[in-house]
Amino acid sequence: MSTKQQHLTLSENKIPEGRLGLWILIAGELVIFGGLIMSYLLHRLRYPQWSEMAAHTSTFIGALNTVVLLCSSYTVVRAHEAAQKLDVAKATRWMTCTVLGGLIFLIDKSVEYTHEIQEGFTFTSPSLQHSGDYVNSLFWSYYYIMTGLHSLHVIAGMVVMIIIMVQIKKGKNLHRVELAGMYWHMVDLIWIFLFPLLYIAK
Amino acid sequence: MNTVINNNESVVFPDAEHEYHGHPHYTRILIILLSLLACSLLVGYIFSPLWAIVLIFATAAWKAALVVRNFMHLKYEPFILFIAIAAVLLIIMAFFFGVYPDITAITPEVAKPH
Repeated sequence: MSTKQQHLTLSENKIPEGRLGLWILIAGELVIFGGLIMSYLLHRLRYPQWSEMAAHTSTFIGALNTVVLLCSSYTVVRAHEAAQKLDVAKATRWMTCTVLGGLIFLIDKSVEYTHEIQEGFTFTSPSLQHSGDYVNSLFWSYYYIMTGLHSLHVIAGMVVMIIIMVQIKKGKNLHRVELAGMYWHMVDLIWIFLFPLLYIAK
Repeated sequence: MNTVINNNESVVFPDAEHEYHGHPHYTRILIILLSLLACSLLVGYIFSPLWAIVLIFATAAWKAALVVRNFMHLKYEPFILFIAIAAVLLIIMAFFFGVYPDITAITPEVAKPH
């Protein structure tokens, strides 16, 4: 019987290097989304008429997606807890729940996008531009950039989660469950701010 | 050090990560997060628009703090990491207040393409 030993190295600040790397990634992502959110907020304050456009977004679907993401954050911390106890089967089950949560989120978002596109609200909203309403057209550009970029992060998180599930089933890299979880929490964190901005503040 | 037996191989799970932090009561945190979400949905019906927006963003900030501290385990990290994350937030705020006068000075007419 051979023994594979996976050593975790600590940085000078006593933070495991994997975690430190993830925190650096998260800080970078916060700058990207923080910049977008602040830019949106500035325009929202400048153009109060955006509230009419925000009224077209579905608060129900937005709230449902918030519940789904919060619950999937919970399932991924439970996966991390199970991985620490070396319970691979339980960790895999919780991670599967997280991936399913991501899938539900994407299905909800697709349904929402379909309704909005059918109403003529697209990335450039040509119908609004033809009527000279460039300001309200800009709202939808922000909306699709922010939610689209966020959805891409959800997809990336799901892919990472599936790869790590395959690895832990082989008994490898159990510590990566926490790292995948941290990334997933960041995705949740961004949505926590996108939801009130785009769905509640009308 | 813990060991997982798999396919005639024993894989040693690193202890450094195990001993790095504890675990808060995750179910309690989830219940608080869902309650805050319900509150943020309700305030729009109860308070005036301005107060509603202030309260909605206050609950969002509270939810974010709960996720970062408990789910991302920031409360177990060294203080230097708090400073690094706070610096990022300061940069974002500097961007907001730096650009604010320019954006608010733009009129809808100026925003139209010629």
